[in-house]
Amino acid sequence: MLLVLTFGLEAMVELVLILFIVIPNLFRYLRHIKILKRVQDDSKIVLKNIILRQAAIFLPLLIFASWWILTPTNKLGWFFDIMRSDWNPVTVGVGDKWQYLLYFVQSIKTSYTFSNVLFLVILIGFLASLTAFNVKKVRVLAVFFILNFTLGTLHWYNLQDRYIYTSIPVLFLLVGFGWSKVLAKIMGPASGLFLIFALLVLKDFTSLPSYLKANATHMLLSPMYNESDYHDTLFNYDFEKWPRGARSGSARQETTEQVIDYILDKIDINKPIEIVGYTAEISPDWVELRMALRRRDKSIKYKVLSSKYNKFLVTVEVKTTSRLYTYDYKRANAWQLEKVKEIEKNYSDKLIEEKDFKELGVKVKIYENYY
Amino acid sequence: MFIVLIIVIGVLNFFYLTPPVINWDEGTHAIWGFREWLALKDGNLLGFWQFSQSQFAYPPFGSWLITFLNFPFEFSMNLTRFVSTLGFIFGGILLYLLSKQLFSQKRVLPELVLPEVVLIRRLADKKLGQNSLRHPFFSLKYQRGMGSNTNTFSFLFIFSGLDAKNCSSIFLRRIGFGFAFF
Repeated sequence: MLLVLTFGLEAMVELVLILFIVIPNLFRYLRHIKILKRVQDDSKIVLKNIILRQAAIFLPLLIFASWWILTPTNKLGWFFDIMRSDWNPVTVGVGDKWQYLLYFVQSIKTSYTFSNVLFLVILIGFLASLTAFNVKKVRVLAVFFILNFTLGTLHWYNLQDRYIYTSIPVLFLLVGFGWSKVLAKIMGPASGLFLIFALLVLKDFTSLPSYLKANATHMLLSPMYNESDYHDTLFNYDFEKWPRGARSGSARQETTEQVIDYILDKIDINKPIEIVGYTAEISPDWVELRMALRRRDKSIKYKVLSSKYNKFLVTVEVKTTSRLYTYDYKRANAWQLEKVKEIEKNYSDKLIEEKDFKELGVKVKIYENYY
Repeated sequence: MFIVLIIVIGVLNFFYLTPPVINWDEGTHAIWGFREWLALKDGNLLGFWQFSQSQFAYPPFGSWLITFLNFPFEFSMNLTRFVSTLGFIFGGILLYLLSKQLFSQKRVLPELVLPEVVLIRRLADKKLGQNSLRHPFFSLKYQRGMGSNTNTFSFLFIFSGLDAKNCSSIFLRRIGFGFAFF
């Protein structure tokens, strides 16, 4: 029941995972039917119970999924697009076949552990667990993990660490099981070896605080902590070369939040605003939320430039030297730069305000924009 | 003890790892939560329902969590991000229970698997006894007795710690809600 609860809740958030619930259960169901055909006694009652139990678990999920997918409009097409996750791919055309093939191996090594020694421990434990593949619990978990791992790797054009996220706990369970087998054989004579292992991990553990933040930035392909030395690290698994420069806190350092606040300070937030040049860090929804929160905060007096402006046009230009000019930006948002230039050229007489965030490498221009 | 440690790790992670930058998807999840929160605050249940339905990329469960956590207060990004920490804590406990179900035999998940568990534990309670040094990976077992849940405890403890690094944005945490409940 607990397993079902966890899968069920997970599926409500990430419906893709329904596949991980439905497919194994379908096999299980078919297997039951096959067995029941052989064993005739009370087979109907047993089968009915199985169906009822399955229905009690999956029917609410199905109703929820149907409600969300089919109303108010049919989102089925979009839902399958999301499931395929092949739009806006991250890794297409940037790696070689070995980088693609070993992506999740590297991912486990760098993003799900923080130590080469620990990775070795995980590898040994996992392989050891496979020797007990005939044990049903182990088999189910192993198939779950291997399937997710293989499908993720086959999805080479859009590889992201998080795509094996949900199966990592399964890996860890297997590792635990595997090591219990290994230990049963070698624990006595090899105690000292484990101590060495532990000390080696402890050595890596000392860099954990710094590693955690650097890894977040590495995975998100964005200077999440405003690292001044940010550079792209896609397929770069060398922690020493990850950006770990001065993070937020430096007085001279400019942030994306300051950019958003500058824009909102200079416009009438109750009027329509069009922004050209969004980035992952200055995104439409985040700007909208900040605007909405300002509207609610009655204590802030907003500067209304002039009632004659019915709406505003804002351009955000990310310079090529900016830390925001990331691989992700170039891939997904840099196309807007051309539009920014076009607006600068055609609307120069309507420029109201501008500011150059030199440290951040972002230039903001605000134009009046009549109806 | 396990629950306390998970809570401590979760809260520490929240304060230490939460980045100052809010990325695209994080903003998207937050704005849906805000819209629903606003509708609920105004007593507009129909609006809440419609916002829940209208989300096209993800089912609304994530935004509901954001909404309900913020509901007693003014909407804030900090609280919104704290949802993930709650999921993280709840997830750790659930995984613990789950692993107990999956492997209920003795010595199935020795803390040895993840040696730093012991080290963390030692650092936490500052016990560096001889036993622990000699059998670092079984120190918990010595402390709490054979057959207790220390194996699973240890495993989950480090699992939680390791996964903490991935909880640095709602974007990942949104999937983390799923993971968390696993």
